[in-house]
Amino acid sequence: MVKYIAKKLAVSIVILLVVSFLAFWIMSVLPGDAALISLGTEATAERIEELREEWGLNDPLPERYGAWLWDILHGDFGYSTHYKTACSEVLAQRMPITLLLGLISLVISVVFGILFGLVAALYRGRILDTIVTFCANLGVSLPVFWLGILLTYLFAVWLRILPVQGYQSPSEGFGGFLYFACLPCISMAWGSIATICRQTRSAVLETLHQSHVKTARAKGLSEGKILSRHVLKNSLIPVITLLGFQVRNLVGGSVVVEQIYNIPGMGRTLIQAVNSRDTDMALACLMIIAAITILSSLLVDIAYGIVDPRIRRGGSQ
Amino acid sequence: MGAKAVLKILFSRKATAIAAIFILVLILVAVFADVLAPYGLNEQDLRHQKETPSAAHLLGTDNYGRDVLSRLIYGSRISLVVAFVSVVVAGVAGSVIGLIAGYVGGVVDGIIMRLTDALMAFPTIVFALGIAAALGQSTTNLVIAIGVSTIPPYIRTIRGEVMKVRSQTYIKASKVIGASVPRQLFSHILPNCVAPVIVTASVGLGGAIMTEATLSFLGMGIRTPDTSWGVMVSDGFEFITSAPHLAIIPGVAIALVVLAFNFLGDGLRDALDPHVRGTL
Repeated sequence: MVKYIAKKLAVSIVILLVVSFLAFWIMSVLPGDAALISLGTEATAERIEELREEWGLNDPLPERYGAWLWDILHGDFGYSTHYKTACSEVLAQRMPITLLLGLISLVISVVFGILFGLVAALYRGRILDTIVTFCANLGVSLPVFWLGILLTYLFAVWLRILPVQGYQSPSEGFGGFLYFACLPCISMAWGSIATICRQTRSAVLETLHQSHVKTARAKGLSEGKILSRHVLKNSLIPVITLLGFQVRNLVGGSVVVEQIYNIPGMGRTLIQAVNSRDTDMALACLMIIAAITILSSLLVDIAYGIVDPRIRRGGSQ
Repeated sequence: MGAKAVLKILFSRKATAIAAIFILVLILVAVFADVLAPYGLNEQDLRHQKETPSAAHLLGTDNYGRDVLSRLIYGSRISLVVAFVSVVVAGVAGSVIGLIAGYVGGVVDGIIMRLTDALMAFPTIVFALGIAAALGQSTTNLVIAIGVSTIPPYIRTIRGEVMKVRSQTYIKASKVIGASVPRQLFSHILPNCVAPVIVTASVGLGGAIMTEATLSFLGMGIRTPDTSWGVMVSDGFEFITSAPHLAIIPGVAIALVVLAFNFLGDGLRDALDPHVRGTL
């Protein structure tokens, strides 16, 4: 098991390195000059050149990449030209917001996704199944931003029970936090609930037909015990695999949701940074987003190895 | 299995059949937009701003008094073209790369797969956003951004298929009779791997429409005077309190198309999968 984890960890680090280069390369070809944007169009050519030299923008790409990577490994994410402060300081304020909302959305998705999927499978072909399946199909087809707008209209404009946008940190009062976080979390989780629900439904249906479930029935186990011990346990393996993808989707969704609800999180910071050519800030956000998804798929791999011994022994799958 | 059999299974399901017809109608609407749209794309009528649906304007008017239905019809062109072209770009590029990875194997495969993993580390929308920003704003660049960011699933799908097919007897036989590598790849391996790629592409079309709409919503996609459904939602969001139909109507259009492509993809997967075929 240790060997399996070590191998997966090594691969993750390699991937993170490749990601860092890709991100750096993309950001380096961004049109527009950070020095020019920072100084404004009134600035003299000499001053711009001076600043370019100071920020090291004139050095060749591999050299700049090396310097940047070295700094990041030492915890220095660079200087934000937009916020006029260290990137790590901006991130320290904004990352927890995104992580908290993302985590809540993930928990909502897993709980309701599995619940709905299980219900649909158990009531297969009946009206309840039809409704759940239809909602799930709709769920994977709705763009996050439109769902956000629709929910805003329903609950904030029409019913007037929730705010249109804004954010309050839980330290200023948990009730206020929930009041503001409710719609963003539902918008983010909706698609994931639908995906997990679909996967759970088909996995449960497949497991129900397997012989070990028939055996359990034959020896007279109660339906509840069959479900919890035999069906659910086996059906959850494909759902675990899905979780890695869901974390990735939730992070992507947070970029959009934070924009709609005006939440000062990392996703909003990323868009702002890209628009204002704040390269260091954008790179910092990109690296953290990538690190989160890579970490989550590493955790999924490890969980997978624990649940299914065939995999850690290097089996076929 | 012939195309006829696939079509038969496809149309034996109501949802898939309706989805296919819906997409067909939509394509026709996009092609004949000039004839079908009651008003021009940017025809303004400032005396009738933000009107709710009426006989003169079936879906109402926007903040410049432009007809929402006409804009929806014209917008379908960009949404569909961007989606189709980006899926073709991603599908072709991903298939070729996946084919090479699966066939050559070894170090090449390792490098390609680690690169793919690295691309997968970014959420599609974040990756597309980065590329769109790096290339600068234009419709062509939008297509490239969406195309490149959706390549990984194709690489993975086709690589997996090639690995399965590679060890089959008929491939060995073609090697023995001296078929060249391109011939093995393109006339023997590829045709046997293509089914799952078609399924991925069908679902991918819905995804591409969604990504385009999202990028446009975030201000990184289509720009005025052109319009797409995403732009319409984004423009309408400003007037969510005074004229909610401006954001809601184009959103319904996006959701319906994506839903249709997903149903089509599900139907195709079942039609092309021999395990499921018998049980339908």
